[in-house]
Amino acid sequence: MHYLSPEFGLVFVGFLWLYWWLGSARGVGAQNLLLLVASYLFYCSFDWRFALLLLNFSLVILALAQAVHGHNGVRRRWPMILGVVLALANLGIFKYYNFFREEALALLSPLFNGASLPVLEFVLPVGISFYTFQGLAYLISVGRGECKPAKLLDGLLHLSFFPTLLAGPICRPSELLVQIQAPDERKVAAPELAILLIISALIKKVWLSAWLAEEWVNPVFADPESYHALELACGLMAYAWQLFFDFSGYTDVVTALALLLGFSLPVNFRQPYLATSLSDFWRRWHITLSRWIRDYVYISLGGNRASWARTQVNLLIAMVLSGFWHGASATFVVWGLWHGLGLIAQNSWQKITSLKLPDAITQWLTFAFVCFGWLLFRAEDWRAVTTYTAGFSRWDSLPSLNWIGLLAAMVVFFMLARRAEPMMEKSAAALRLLPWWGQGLTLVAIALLIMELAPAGMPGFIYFGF
Amino acid sequence: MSAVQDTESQHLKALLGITFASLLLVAVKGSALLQYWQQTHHILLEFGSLPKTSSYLPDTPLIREWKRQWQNTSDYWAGVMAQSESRMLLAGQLLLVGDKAIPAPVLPVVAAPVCPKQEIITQACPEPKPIAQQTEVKPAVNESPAVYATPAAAMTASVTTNSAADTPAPEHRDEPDSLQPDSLEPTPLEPLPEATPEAIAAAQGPITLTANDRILLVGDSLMQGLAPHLMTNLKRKYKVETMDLSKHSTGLTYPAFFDWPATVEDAFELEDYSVVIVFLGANDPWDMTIHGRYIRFGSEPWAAVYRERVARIINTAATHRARLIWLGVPPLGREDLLGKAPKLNAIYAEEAAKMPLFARFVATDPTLTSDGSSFTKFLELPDRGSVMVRTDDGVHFTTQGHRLLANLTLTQFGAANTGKTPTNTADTATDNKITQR
Repeated sequence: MHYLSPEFGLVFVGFLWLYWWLGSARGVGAQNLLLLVASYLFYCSFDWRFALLLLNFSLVILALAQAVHGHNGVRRRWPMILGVVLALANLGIFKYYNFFREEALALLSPLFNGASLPVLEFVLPVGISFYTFQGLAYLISVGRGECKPAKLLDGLLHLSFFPTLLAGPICRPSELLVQIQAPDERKVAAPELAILLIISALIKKVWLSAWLAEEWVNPVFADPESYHALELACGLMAYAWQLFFDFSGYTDVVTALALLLGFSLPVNFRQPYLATSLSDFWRRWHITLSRWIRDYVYISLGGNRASWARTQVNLLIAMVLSGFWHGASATFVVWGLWHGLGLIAQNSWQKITSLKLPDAITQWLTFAFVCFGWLLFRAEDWRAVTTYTAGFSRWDSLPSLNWIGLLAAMVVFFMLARRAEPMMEKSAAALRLLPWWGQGLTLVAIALLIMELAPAGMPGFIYFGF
Repeated sequence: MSAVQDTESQHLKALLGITFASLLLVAVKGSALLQYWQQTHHILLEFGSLPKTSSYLPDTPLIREWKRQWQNTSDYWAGVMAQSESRMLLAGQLLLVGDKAIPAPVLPVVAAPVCPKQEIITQACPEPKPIAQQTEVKPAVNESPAVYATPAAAMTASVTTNSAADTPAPEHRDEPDSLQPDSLEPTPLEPLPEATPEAIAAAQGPITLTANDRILLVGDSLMQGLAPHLMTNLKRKYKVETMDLSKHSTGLTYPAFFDWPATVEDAFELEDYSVVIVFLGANDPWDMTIHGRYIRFGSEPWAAVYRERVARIINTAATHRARLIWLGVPPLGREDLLGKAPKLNAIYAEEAAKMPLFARFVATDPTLTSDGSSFTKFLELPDRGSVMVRTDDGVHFTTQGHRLLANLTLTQFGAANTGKTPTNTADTATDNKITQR
């Protein structure tokens, strides 16, 4: 069951009534219990074995977090280290085993004839990358003394809370766990915001992302050799925006679900394509992942406390690991490397010269750099990348797609991105004035309009694969 | 925020708003919802489909007039938008590539359907007819002075009439027929190969491709994955252009959701394809309802209806003298799909065998399984050891799997006049061995 599917929507509406009735009748504790049961049932709708795996993971992490505090008030280090090792091993087996196996075999086969590693048939449990990181963030926070170990049920819910379970945002304990533990009555502070976020998600995900995919990204990436250089460039930009609409639309709907349950989630996207440098980009794109990598990889490696050169090495390692987190494939590693090298180049530039380029130029440079990165992100293998880039020299044929329309759409997207925040605020203010049925009608009218405009079929979520 | 003291009303407001919106959406989009439900969960709801929204409006002349006007207005604006869009595009193309952007004048084909040769006018330009009669025209074509009055052609014709007579021809077939003379026009000019045993044997050899040929790809998400590999290789080796129509979640079981036979017919109206590659079926092993009757997957009536849809696609290709390659459904590893592929493949193979001059069925199992028939996720390949060819869902392919399939498909082709052996067309030497296993 996916969050934008009709069946999820209908079940969720029914669930909301039960949830809020329970809140007024039995209080927050009962609501938490209901959420926990619902989260596990939700996960079971994908595969019950996933739920067992999640339960197992959560119990181990929670037990180790309890073990951090000794009787005499001393914090122990070993549970934290053991937890990190176990969690990464768990992730490694389910996500990376086959990658390593095939790569290792490819390396071994010239040396040893008939080398073989056992084949293990694993199914990638959806969301494992996300809950592993959320669990580690919790364990390390406890280990560093930033928060206290949670009670069993609270901890289980923190790691399985169904809006964030499949693809984040990756919450810190100070963001989600604290809200779960709060004894006060739960509130929906701004219902119009939830409705606005659902509308925003429909526009981004069901309409724009699907439209870009259908009209541009899929055809151009399927057969790059038959397109004009200009179309290839358009296709790449379209893919960049498709990714953004897909993932930020997803985050919007998840945030709306959490709001309707009385929770607020951390921000995951802040108009990333307006970034004027690569480091700025990573402060705006998939923020909860970037800061996880920063807090637990980059800073753990020493961050920028040692020499300048060491800082760059740390940066490179962090970015490569971030790339590898996205998928068990060499192209994701290369994508991480691309961004790491880009950051190093940017830092070197700043070290050498104090020349500051105008924002408009740096923004375009950053966007172009990021777009090329997405080519690596999407490619299945190296050949796909070279085929695509070779096409940039093809200027003689006649473009067959409506590239003017796409360029116009790009301009509109950039302009809207600039005005996104005040626009959201104004719309929220306007919606707040409406009575409940007016808000409902607005949602229905826009939903119907989008269904008319959107390409047919249920769009998939790109980020579920990670 | 001021919401602190009246929390109760705030979540109630949210609940009411959201619930109201969902109920309204279900009421308005009920039939689409049911269709979605049937398509994704394959559960047939007993209470039939909800009436359409427009049927809630009273059917008075005034409202009918409104509907008509609304239709006219929206059609008009859609036309205006499309026109200005294409003008903009032409202006931009002119800037970019100069004169080349001006489309070459389109010669009479579209303007007026003129039949070029006197003696074949009667056959080549039939009156618009529904499909049942239309297939009967074929023997008449064969009787013309040309060479193709042969047993196999006669057999083909009788088969098609039979299958068309079994089930009523779908109504929407009527309108495209008015365009039929256009697309049929060139076909009688090229004499069919004689369907002697030798001709059939020759037809089973590699399909020759020249740079002028166009290839049509038809299929579901499995084809969507395979298409890029096919397109690139076909272009590289034979300089042929390929049109990929594949669409995820489609098949032949739910024509209300997506109608492949009609789509293929429409595609041929627009362009003359010389080869069609079909890869369908993974979404099909489900029960159907026909005129409110519930039909189990695999039962006799199910097979009859399904067979007719397969035959329609094959007939469309044959009518346009196009070669058709039907790729069999590989064994599926998902629990609810286990063992269902062979039933579908039997139908494809039988239907393809009825048109030996045009259609061929290519089984994918030998290439994609270790024992030739059961689902295999990891395949032992020479040189590479065991590689993952299927994804975790038990249905789709990995890149490696797509390569194997693409090579299998490419072995069906050969370049004209080069006398290449079919396997030479395969991707790389390594992958070559794979296909031959």
